[in-house]
Amino acid sequence: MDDCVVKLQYALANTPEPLSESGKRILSWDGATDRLYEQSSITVRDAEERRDSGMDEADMKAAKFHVDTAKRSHFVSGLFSGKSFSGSKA
Amino acid sequence: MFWDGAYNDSFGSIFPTVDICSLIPKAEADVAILEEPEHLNWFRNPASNSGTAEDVDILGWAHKFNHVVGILHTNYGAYIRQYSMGTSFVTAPALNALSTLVVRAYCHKVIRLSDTLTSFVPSKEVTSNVHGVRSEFLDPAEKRKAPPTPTKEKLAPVYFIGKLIWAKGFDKVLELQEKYRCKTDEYFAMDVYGGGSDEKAIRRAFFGRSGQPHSEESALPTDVIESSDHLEDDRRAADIFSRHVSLRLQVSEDSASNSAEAEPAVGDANADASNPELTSPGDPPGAVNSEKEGKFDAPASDTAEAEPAVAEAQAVTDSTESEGKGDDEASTDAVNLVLDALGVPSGAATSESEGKGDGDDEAKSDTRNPALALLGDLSGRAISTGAETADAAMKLVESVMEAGLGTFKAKDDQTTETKPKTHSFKFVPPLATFKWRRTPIPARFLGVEDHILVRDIPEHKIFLNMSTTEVLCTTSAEALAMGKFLIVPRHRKLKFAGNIPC
Repeated sequence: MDDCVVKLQYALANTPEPLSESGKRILSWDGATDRLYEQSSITVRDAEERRDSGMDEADMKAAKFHVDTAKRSHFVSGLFSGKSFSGSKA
Repeated sequence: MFWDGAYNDSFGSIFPTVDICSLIPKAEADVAILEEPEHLNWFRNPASNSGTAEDVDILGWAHKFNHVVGILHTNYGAYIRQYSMGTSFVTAPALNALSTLVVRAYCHKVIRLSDTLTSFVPSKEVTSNVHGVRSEFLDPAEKRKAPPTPTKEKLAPVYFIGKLIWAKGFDKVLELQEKYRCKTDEYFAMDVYGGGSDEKAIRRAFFGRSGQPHSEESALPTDVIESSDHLEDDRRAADIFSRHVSLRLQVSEDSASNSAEAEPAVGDANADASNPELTSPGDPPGAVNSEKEGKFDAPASDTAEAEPAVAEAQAVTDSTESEGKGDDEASTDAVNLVLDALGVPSGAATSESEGKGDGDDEAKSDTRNPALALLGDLSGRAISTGAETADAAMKLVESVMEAGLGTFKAKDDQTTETKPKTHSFKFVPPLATFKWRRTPIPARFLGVEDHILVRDIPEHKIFLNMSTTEVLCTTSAEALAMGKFLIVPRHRKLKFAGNIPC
């Protein structure tokens, strides 16, 4: 907190510098989309490792388990105060 | 394309009543980006569209699409716990387990907007803020045509905008004010925009008990008789606690209409009109003596008086919590712990809607239920009557009250032969430390405004954001975009690609 006081005193005594063009890009939705592209990809090697390690197969079993359970009962909706989920259309 | 959905009362949210994945033609199923993939898929049932489902649709997104990216926005485990949804403490961990299942099943890659969110499948996850700010925040400031405030008061260089709830770091702001004053002999001025359920308590913390700013020259000395409004508050509070009707019944909505009919029990609610704290029998520790001295000038805090029951309440809370305990916001104050369990409509897990307040909640609770309003005043936080109250939490509140406030037992009551089952006591409202404030902080509460307003106010050059519980610091990013100084706690990293010098 002492450091915070120092920073506050500096800010009160000075004027902020204008944001650089690269900084503006980072904060904009264009920059956000750049990050989305970069972070959402998987390399070819990663994809092969997932297949070879059995991760893809395990994920498929998880999907099947989820679907089968949803068909059998409303156990999921029972999590929320015991009421069954009514499927009336919005 | 729009999908059919329905509102679920228990969760307070909309869910699809059809399988969205099945609605998309296979020929167009290349890349899917799912915002809140757990929320979308908890209730997923591929047979719900027409009773049957094609094979390609049964296994869902990751099977039908070439690549699926899920973006996590909300900490639902903390959300469900905070709002006391479900009747069991295991609901939140169970929900997290279900989220892990559906995220693993339906996503190839998962992006968490920030590290405050739960990690479901670490091998598939990255953390990155893939949000931006509205383009107008990046535009140069415009020359404003009219003054932003109706008064001629000078605009403060430091400002805050957001919900006026304690979770936004106001306790840290007050601490910073005191540290600043220690160094410079004065508080720093700040303008506060927004509304929220804790506004009343926050204003009190800034200005003192009156909740109103007043000049230092006219600051009341601490031995001055309180205004009649405060005496009335104290009498009303004493009346609530002196009743034999259990606090739980008084708080529950069914009994709200009966509370006016309940007779006050043993324990005189009428204190000496000239100075109620000083003449309360039983001489409660701490508060009264300090009030007599009138010298203490401590930093404001939202903690109630420390009671022996604090440790007891903590022990009870700890023993009933599930393995989801790690998600809880830490608090060493027993009353705040209890009131968290009751459901305080404030906090981090909700999505950001900065600059918009909901100050109506507190006004409604005050008029509908005086017992809830009192609990809100005690803790310095508002309690929405709309929040569901877990039965276990209310029992805990009662045990805290019995054990803790029993120390205020009136001397007169000891001579009565027939004692009621519950303790009778003379209630002395805990004097929150904001009461000690002799010098108000030069802050102005200017109501709800859009953050873009500040772009054209060069005088507001510093955005002070001491919150540590937000998922995303959208307002912080907006402040940077507008070319303001940004002061945030050091561990709050703004997860962009690269650092931005402030």
